[in-house]
Formats: sequence, structure tokens, C-alpha cells
Amino acid sequence: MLYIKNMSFSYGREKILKNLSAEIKDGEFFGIIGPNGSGKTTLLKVMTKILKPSSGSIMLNGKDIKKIPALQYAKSVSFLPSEIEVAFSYAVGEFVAMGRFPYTGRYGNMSAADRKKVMDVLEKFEIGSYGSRKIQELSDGEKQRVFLAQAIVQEPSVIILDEPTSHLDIGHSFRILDIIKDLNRSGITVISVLHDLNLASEYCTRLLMLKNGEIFSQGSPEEVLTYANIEQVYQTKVLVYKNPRSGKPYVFGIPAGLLTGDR
Amino acid sequence: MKIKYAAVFLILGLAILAGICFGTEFFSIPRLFSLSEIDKTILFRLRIPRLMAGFIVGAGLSVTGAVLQAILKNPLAESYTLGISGGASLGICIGVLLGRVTVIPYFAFLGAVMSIMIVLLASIKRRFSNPTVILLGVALNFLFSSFVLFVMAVIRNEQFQSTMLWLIGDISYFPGRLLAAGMVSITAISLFLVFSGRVYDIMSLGDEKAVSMGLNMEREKKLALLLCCVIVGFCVSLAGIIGFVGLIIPHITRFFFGPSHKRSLPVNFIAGGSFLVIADTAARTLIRPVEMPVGVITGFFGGLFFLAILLKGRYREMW
Repeated sequence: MLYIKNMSFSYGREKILKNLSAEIKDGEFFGIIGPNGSGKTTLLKVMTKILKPSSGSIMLNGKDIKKIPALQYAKSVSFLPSEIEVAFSYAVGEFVAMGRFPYTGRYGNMSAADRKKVMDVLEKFEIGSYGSRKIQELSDGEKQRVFLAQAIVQEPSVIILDEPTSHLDIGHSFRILDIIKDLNRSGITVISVLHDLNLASEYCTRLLMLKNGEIFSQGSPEEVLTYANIEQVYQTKVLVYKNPRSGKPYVFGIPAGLLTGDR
Repeated sequence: MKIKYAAVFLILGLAILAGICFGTEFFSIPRLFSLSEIDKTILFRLRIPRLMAGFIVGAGLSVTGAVLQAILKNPLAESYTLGISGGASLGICIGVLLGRVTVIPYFAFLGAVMSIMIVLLASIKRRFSNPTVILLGVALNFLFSSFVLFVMAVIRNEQFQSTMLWLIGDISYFPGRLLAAGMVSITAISLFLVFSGRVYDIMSLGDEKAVSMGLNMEREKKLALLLCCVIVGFCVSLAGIIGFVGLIIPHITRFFFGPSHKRSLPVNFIAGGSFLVIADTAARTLIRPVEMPVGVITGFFGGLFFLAILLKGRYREMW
């Protein structure tokens, strides 16, 4: 369980996150939504220990994360940033194997168990067949799958994702989220920033909506994704219906020129 | 893969053989087995120490180039283009002025640390892009070199020629004790960097990813930069400012052996050393009996290499 307790974060004088509290239970698919600049990515970075909270704390299973050593924390929590610019042309296999770093330590000697874990994940993600291809040669969809595989090789109990679908078309977006949902079903807690409200609605069990660094709303997709909330937070007019297949809220944006009459 | 490793060792063997046989005086292989007294002096007092110095300097510069490129995520990074060598030369110059010849490597180290700190602080403050960081390094190099030239020109007129050679990079004069200290230190540090290869793999994924994998980024970056400064300090103390070795060799090595540092850093050590030995042998023999500074050769090939990357637009592919 990840417990965010009265946590604030400032960058210089600017307050980016203001007194946030939230509880993310084991096995949840927890979505973080909000407009650009509302502090979503900053919140993820605090949860991954990349940034330190200015006040308040974050507890993982009852322990303040600032007291957990970095390598040990990396065995429980892995992170997939929205952009990974891979500097060198690593082969897919060796790239995924780097995810074992928290286990192998700085000298990076892989045991047979480490190798087996890497092979298993490559197979599970169906990327074993191109293990010797270079990262740069892959399409965006394939790349995202490889990045995810690297994060999973870390054997985390919580995986934190920053817009995992940002470079992907609708087909690849659903495929990558299906994979993440499968991981979630197998027991991994998922915390993800999602830009697309409808994807957030379909996949997340609970949502947290940020506005200017504060929590605006928190709860199930049905509770959070109401037109009143969205209009206030995003400053735009929307209609919210239900997806006829899943029954989840579905958000329609409306161009300004069509804003006439009642809803 | 085995063939590639065999090729690297073959190049090393050829480099050693060439370094021993060629020079103002040519030593054929039969002659090596029946050496006169003078021959022995030439060989053991001049050629072999020079060969060892060339090797260790080339090895050190290549390994530091590869590591700097990874931790700064900059394909053009190396001790020369970042101004680290220039800083080391300025340190040495100050050491010479103070008349403390025995502690020259310390001054070289301090100069190197000073210049890398200027580069890093300025590039973080101003959010420089990769090419801009390199421009800054080159500018620092010019600044430091002109200062060194100024001081040398004012203080000891008769040494002007040798100072000039040294600024271009020249392996013709160095004290024996410095060579021994340099060999031990550079080899030990390189071994440490090889064993820590995984750390530089992880760093090359970027700060966020590296930190989330549990890497202590700040500490590892500082450690690696300091170790690189020690190596560069020794290299510059031994052979002056030799540019581009640390740029060319890591790129070629990565092309053949892949980017994994555990695999490529040892190759950098051997290939970089061999390259500089060959370059120095060429510098000694091409316009016999005049000896060129080795920096002329490395500068020539380095410049061509740089141009080839730029003109072919393969800047990205080179990684």
C-alpha cells in the first residue's frame, strides 16, 4: 500500500503540489489525471524518489520511502517515464536485462536466476524473437513494449507509468494498456498518469484528478469523470455518456463553435 | 565475436612490433635478436618507454572518452572537446611555474577538475544543449592554451618550441617515474571503470530512469568524473594535449562491439593504446629524421572522422 500523507512539493518558491493525501491500495489500477501543468508528472517523480517532498511524506507498506535505500526501493517500485531517449543502440535483450540492476548491483553480474527472469519476461512480452535487434530500429509500439518489459524485469510490486500511450495510435494504446491490465491482474499495483480521459475511464479502478497542484476529486471513474468536474478542471465544455459496451463514462469534447442550446 | 577480439589483439601485436622496429633507425626482426650496446640503449631507454607511454595515454584517453560520452549522453564528449585536457595543461603550467616538478600530476588533476566543473556548472545553469557544451569546452581549451603559451613565452624563451609541441600533443619527453605512476594509476582506474560498466549503461538511459532503478546518480557521476580527471591528468602530464583519440576510438569500438560498457571498455583500453602507439610510430618515421608531435597525426585523423560524421549526417547513427 502506498500512502501519500499531507505531501507538498515546491520547486524554488513555486508550490507545485499542495498538501496531497491519497491512499493507493495493493492491486489497484490507479489513474492520475489533470490538465497540463497540474503537477501529475511531479507527483510521479516524488513517488519514485526522483524528487523529495518539501513536506509531508509517502509511505510504502507503512514505511517512509525516504528511509528505504534506493536499490531496495527499486525492487518494489519501478518507473516508466514518458520519454526515454536511449543514447546508445542497445540490443533489445541487453536493454531489458538492465532492469535487473537493483538485484545485480553496481558490478552487474547476472546470476542464472537473473537470466531466467529476463528470458521469461522477453517471452511474456512477445519480444524474445527480436532480442538481438537494436532499440532504435523498433517502431514506437514495439519500443514501448520493450520499455515496459525492462520495468517489469525489476519485479516490482508497484509500477508507476507516465503517459504510457502518449506516442501510440489507438490500436497500440489499447494493446499496451491491455498488457498493463494483465500485469495488474497478476497482482502488480499500477499507478499511471493518463492524458486520455476515456482510456483512464476504461482501465482505472480509481482516479485522482489534479488541478493546480491540488486534489480536485478522487474516486471511481464514475465519481470523478462528471461533466461538472471536467469543465471546471479543464476549462472546456464536454458531454459525458456511457460506453455502451463497458458502461464506463465516456467523455465527448465539444468545439467552441457548437456551444449552443442545452445539454 | 571471437574473431573481433582476435582482431583487436592482432592490432595490439602489430602496434607493439611497429613501435619497436620503426623509427629513425630501422630494426629488422633478425636485428632484434642480435642487439649491439647502442641498439639496446635505443630500444630499452627510448623506444620501449615511449611505446609504453603512448599505449597508456591512448588507453586512458579512450576509456575516459567512452565513459564521458555515456554519463553526459553526448556523442562528441571527450577530454579534449570538453576542455579537460586544456585545464590539465594549465594546471601543469602553474605547477612548473612554482617549480614543483614532482607534483605535476596533482596540478594536472586539479586543472582538469577545475575545467570540468566550469563546463558542468555553466551547462546546468544555462541548460546548454550537447553541441553547446562542446563549444564551451573548445572555448575553454583555447583560453587555457593561450594562457599556457603566454606564460611559457614570457618565462623561458628557449623552451618555446617544446611547449608548442607539448600543446599539440607529443610523447618525446617524460620522466620515468611519471610513466610508472601513470601506468599503475590508469590501469587500476580503467579496471574499476570496466567492472562498474553496468553503472554507465544505466546512466546512459537518462537521469530519471537511472534513479528509479536505484542508482545513486549524483555519487556515481561525481566518482566517474573525478576518476576521468585523474586519468586525463596523467595523460596530459605524460604527453600533452592529444585530441580526438577519446572521440574516435569509443565510436569505432561501439560500432563493432555494441554499447555495453563491460564489453566495450576493455576493447577501448587495448584499441586506444594500440592506435596511439601506431600514430606515434608514424609521427616518428613519416618525415625522418624530423619527428612530428603525435598530435599532428591524431588531429588529422580525428578531423577527418569528425567531418565524415557531420557530412554524412550520421551523427545519430554513430551511437
